[in-house]
Amino acid sequence: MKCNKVMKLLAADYIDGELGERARFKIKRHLEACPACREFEAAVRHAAVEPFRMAPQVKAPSSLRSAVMRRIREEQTPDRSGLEWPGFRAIFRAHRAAYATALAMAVLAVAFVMHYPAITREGGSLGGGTDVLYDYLVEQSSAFSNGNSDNAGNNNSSDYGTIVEEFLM
Amino acid sequence: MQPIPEEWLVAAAGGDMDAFDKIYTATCDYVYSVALRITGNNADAEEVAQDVFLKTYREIGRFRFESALTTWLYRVTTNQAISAVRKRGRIQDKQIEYNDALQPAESRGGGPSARIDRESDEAGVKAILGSLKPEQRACIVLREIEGLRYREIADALGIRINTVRSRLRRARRAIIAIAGKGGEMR
Repeated sequence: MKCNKVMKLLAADYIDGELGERARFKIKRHLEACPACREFEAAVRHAAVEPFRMAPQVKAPSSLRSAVMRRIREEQTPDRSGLEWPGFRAIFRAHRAAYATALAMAVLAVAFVMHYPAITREGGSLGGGTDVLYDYLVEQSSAFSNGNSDNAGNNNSSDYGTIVEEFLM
Repeated sequence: MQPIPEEWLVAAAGGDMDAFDKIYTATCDYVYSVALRITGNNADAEEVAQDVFLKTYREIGRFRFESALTTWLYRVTTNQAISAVRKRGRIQDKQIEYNDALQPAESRGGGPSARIDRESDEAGVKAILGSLKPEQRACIVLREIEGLRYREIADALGIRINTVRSRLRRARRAIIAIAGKGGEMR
């Protein structure tokens, strides 16, 4: 066997007892005849193997157990901060269709209010188109009162000046 | 590490904390030892060991018993420890560490000779391992300290046997090179 191959085996399989009986025998025969390989084997044992034979046994510190158990308990305990309250979870877990329905109802309600205004003679604003119509009526009413001086004292509401008023009143 | 009885695993997988505690007691020294040898310091080793046991607690319910729990523990511990070493990213002057660790015991002060010898041995081991790359360190620890065979190391690390062989070879050549330049050996 050549020295470079022997040294490869000396640094691994031979030292670690991973070789078969036949391979071990060949290595031993080579070592008997080769001082360089003998010196290399001695260096491997002395520097890279024996120090570990003398290494003291390591014990886990007692603090490790309590730290592990504390972390396990933290995993087991659910977070009770506000956002994690079960009520919020229940709400957010509601079926998506329920959300869609509620949203649609809200849109319809707003549309209804916007497009079917109630008209009040007292002048409360109902928003949107109701203001325009009301203002027009008030204006026409005022104009009629101002322009019809012959009937200044006459409060007979049956006399209307415009077709719209006639139609509405 | 001794094999873990299957009934402990089954009980722990079912949420039995007493069984988990038995597993912990049977394995904590080995896990901590591997973590300490690879990371090189107690603080990192304790953090790694905590992470390993927390991961064991989370995953023991999914453990398939295809390989031994001990193999799984070695794998998780070495992976976590190597990650911790890389995260720390400490640049070591390997030669200085090695030489410092091998100073004569007397220079460190008095005390019972047995304790000094143990501290010297420990310092020597720490220096040797500190001079290696993390992957080589893991192979040396599993081989020299845990006494695993090549097949067991390969299974634990998830690598091929030839890779185990070559890492051990390179690690030992590196140790011999540093020891040779370090001069005085005890």
